[in-house]
Amino acid sequence: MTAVDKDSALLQLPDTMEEKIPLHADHSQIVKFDNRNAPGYRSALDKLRQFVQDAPAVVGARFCR
Amino acid sequence: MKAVQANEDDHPTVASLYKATYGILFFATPHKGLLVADMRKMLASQQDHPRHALLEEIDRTSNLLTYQLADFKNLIRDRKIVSFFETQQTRQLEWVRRSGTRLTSSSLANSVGFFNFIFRTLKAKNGVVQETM
Repeated sequence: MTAVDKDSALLQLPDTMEEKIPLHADHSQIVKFDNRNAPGYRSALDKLRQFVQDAPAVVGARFCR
Repeated sequence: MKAVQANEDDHPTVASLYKATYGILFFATPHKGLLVADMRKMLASQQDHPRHALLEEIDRTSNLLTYQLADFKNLIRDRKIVSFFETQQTRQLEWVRRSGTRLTSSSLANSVGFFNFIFRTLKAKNGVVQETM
């Protein structure tokens, strides 16, 4: 069975606001990466690196308002 | 949700969590619920089990989640969202019996290390659900 189907797992926001990434895994394995080259791990790492780079300016501005 | 609803003067720490959130990664998060039929089946013999109410709340037809999702979308604003979703089928829950001891083999109970251990053992056996321990 599909535990959490695509319709439930996505917020259905425009692609500019929400990046939607399919992973070849079931509901249990989707958070268990086999190794550092696993597609899910690579994607998550790339996103987190991007966040680290971009967040300080955006978050800093929110606290200065 | 709690962070954005918190009053900045009454709960400054909680409120600041919302401002400090730049982005969120979701891994197969059931915003509109998930299939709970197999879990419900396991509670069928216990009508007064305390988890029945929880299953109602996270079921695919949950009204609570529908309202909460609408509220959540309104507070995202410029936060970066990444949604990972599963494309493979998940094994259903079933009772496994051995020597009179009841075990739960589960691919959904991934928050409990003990069940993970059992499930990994099952997976290792070529995906065939066998009795372990």
